Amino acid sequence: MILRKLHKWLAIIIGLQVLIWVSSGMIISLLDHHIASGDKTRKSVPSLHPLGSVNGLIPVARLPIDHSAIQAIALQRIQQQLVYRIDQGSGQTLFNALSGEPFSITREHAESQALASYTGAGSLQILALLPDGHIEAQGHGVVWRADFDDEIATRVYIADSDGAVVAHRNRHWRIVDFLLMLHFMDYARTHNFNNPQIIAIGFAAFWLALSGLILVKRSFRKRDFGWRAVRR
Amino acid sequence: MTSRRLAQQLHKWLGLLVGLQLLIWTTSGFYMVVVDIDIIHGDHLIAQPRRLSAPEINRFAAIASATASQTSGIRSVKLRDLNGQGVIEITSTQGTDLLNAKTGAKLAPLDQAAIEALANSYYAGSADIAASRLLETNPPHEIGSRPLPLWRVDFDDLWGTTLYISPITGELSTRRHTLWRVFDFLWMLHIMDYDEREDINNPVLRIVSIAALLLVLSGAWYLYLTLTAPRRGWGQQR
Repeated sequence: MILRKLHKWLAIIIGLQVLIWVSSGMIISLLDHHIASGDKTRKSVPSLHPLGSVNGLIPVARLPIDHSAIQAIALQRIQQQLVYRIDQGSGQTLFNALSGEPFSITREHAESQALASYTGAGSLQILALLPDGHIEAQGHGVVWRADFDDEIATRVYIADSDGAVVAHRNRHWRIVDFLLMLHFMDYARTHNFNNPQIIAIGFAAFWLALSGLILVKRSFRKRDFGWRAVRR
Repeated sequence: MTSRRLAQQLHKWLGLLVGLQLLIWTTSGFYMVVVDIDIIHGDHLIAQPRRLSAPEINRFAAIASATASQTSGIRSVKLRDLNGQGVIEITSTQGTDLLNAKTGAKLAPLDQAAIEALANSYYAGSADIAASRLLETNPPHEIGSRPLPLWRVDFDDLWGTTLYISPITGELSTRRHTLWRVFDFLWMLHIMDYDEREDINNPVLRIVSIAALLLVLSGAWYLYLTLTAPRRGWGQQR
């Protein structure tokens, strides 16, 4: 009796979230992951180009950064320019290796990177620069967003710092992203599932499932399966 | 059969079919949300890398210019730390070379002793190395798609720490420990892909999650009928 009461009251209290968990999980499983992940429109773009002739480098010590935090320095060529890629542990910062100016890619380079990585049937419609902290940038700093007019509305994201292809997202991805937000109870969109609300309700859901399973075991008597069930 | 009895029977039979998986989902899900993801990733096992010194930083421009003019096909010249000494990593079409940043001499290939010394420099704990071996074939499941060869270095600690280190660059490729392995196992149970542990579109998960949705809906239906028929208690059968 106590198990039935527990099962009933847990269902009343957290039933809606259990319904959300099961249905969001089911829809994510039914949607083709390869479309949602953007793999179907994406090909890899070579990230490193030959350095070529290297003359007139500015000393790294002249760059306007905290030099005591540098973990690594690399010299590379991006969009025909020599750049220093400085790794300070918390992230990477790029500088023009000849002028020492902070480096960021041009609009033309963002466009060519987006086109180079895109294998879909659409064509580029809009190219927009999203500021740092924009919800779609997801911690990648300033990014360019290239909108394609294919049937799944692909958007290609290019890092403004070095032209790297950050992601290919599309209508399926946006559906899955929304469902994952519900599944992880991540209403603040922090992309973290270690939040107190899911821990509390997840704990209750464990007891809901356990009590339900014990009730199932109790409610089936031998006669439901044995020869008696046939004779009845 | 009354609709209340139908709802009850549906809920009971679906519970028999997929109830165990609901318990597995809630248990595995609970573990995954309770244990901090940074701990699962093993961030606590890895020491802070050494910062480069001012003399090392000051020499970099000259070294990079000289290196680039000596060899063609170079794509990247990088200065970083390797077990306390500065190294220059040259990436070209031919592959990757490591040079001593002070002398410019090519580094000897990383042997077992060098790898173990490196592993100790990456490791934040104080335990000793239990075993190390070079993996060239049969990549273990826990390294995912990372390419071999890699050194596997196991530490004799409570976490069950394993570091995977590249024999070519000496870089830490990834780290694994018991809580990660438990997470990965529970993830397998959660998505019901018992082979590769990555296909969320597998038919087993699809069918069971549809049945689970029916289980929840039948339970909601039964609950509704019970709550609106207050004379009888929950689950009391005639």
